[in-house]
Amino acid sequence: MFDQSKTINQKNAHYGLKSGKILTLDNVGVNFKNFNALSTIQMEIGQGEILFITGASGAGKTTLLRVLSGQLQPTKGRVQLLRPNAHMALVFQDLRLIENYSCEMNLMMAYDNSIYKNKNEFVYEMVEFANILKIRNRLNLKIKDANGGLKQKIAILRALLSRPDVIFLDEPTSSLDQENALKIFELLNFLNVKKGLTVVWASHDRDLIRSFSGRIIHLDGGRLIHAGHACFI
Amino acid sequence: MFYLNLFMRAIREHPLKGLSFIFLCGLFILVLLAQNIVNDFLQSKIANKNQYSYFYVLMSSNENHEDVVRKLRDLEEVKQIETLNQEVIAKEVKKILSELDVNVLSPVLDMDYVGFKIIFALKTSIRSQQLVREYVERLVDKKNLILGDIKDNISDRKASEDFLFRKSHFVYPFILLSVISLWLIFFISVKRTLAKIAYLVEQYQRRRQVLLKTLLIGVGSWLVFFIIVFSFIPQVNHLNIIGAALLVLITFIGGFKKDMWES
Ligand SMILES: Nc1ncnc2c1ncn2[C@@H]1O[C@H](COP(=O)(O)OP(=O)(O)OP(=O)(O)O)[C@@H](O)[C@H]1O
Ligand SMILES: [Mg+2]
Repeated sequence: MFDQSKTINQKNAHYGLKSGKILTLDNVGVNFKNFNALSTIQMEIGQGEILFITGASGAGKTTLLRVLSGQLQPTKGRVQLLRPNAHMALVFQDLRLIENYSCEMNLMMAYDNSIYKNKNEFVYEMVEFANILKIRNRLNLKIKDANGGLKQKIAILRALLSRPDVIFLDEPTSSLDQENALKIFELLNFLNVKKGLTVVWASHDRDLIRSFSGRIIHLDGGRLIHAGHACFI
Repeated sequence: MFYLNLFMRAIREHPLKGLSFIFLCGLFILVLLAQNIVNDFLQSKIANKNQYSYFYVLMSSNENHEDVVRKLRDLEEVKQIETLNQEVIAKEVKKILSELDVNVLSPVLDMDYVGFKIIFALKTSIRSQQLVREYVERLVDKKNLILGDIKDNISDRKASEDFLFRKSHFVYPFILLSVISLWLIFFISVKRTLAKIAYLVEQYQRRRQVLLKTLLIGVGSWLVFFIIVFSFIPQVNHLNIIGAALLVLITFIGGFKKDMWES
């Protein structure tokens, strides 16, 4: 366990702003009717960065991810996407898998023939990822028969298979044990290093956060109360 | 092809609902194309009994009525002769007598009558019909004969049938409206399923307006398919197709809010 954390710490040398910003939020606020879910958020995401968003339940993590990924128009302020044709994929907190489909069919939702040469290339990549997460032999299972952990892995793989420039993950490991959570973190970390994938990860998994020395944003009651490194939390 | 596949995937996700929708697409087109046929059928159904002009002949059973009937049957103007039973005769005697508006001697009423309904062939001119009626007068001794007026299907239509006849104009719109309503219900339901899939495609593939494109191509293909399948139907009402196209387009415009997964 301790060893795994250590490897991550070593890899953290790659984190941080690499080549400029990809997204900036300028004084962003979100109201649901009279309820103030986010207020005066000022932040930026660097290209190739891995960023954690933490906060208690109801702090506004999901809302912030939805604003960042362009799902939700903020009531106030400005969201600037500095690479307009960047593809952003969101792993939803409620996963949004199609229950009647098999795991594989759900993954196929990400098969975009404009970015894959052919279906074989897609399947090859799918199998590769499935092997890494050790779910290869469960791909034929229907989602309604799958357990929570498998569903989360499928939701994450679906987003990864869309070959995004930025991936937003909303509590992606809530049904996974520490070992599997780290496995996913390592996969994302690998893609970050190899492909320059920008990762924005919302979580309140304290162990995972502690083992991470990159930038962390902490939300409380819709306000950004800390942006910095894990050791200050 | 991608969008057609996507549409069929939504159909397969809920096979019963999906197949019902496709069936309704077919029914929709069939009802639209067959408007004239349906209307003709309905009207002939109601007007059937009165399609031909006719008149009643009552004569004393002492007359050689079999000979009269045989002679009339030979006429090409006469399509059919029905023998009336006693009840009808009794009824008709009263009716005919009152219609004749003459003072009939009571002995006439006491006579033993045989009765016939002489039915003219279609499109027999009024003049020919009158000639046939006069011919009967010549064949039978006048005092043993009572002739009804020549009646045509329009003037003889009973009030209730008249009512039905007018109502029959509303039957087709009623059928059409029912089919359209049913179609719309299933359309909205299929669209709901599709909206979720389309949303995911937009999320994880680099495509835009997936729902609209899928509906246009998916539903459009099925409608066109059925138009071709039913194109053998004669007397097609082309105006209906244009109307239907407008209706379909209008239903497409009423969109869903983008994120169908939001609870
Ligand atoms: N569509 C909405 N309408 C009204 N209120 C909402 C809506 N979405 C979120 N909220 C409210 O905004 C606040 C922040 O919600 P959000 O989902 O962003 O929190 P969160 O940090 O993701 O919480 P959790 O850890 O439980 O997922 C909550 O109090 C929630 O009730
Ligand atoms: Mg949340």
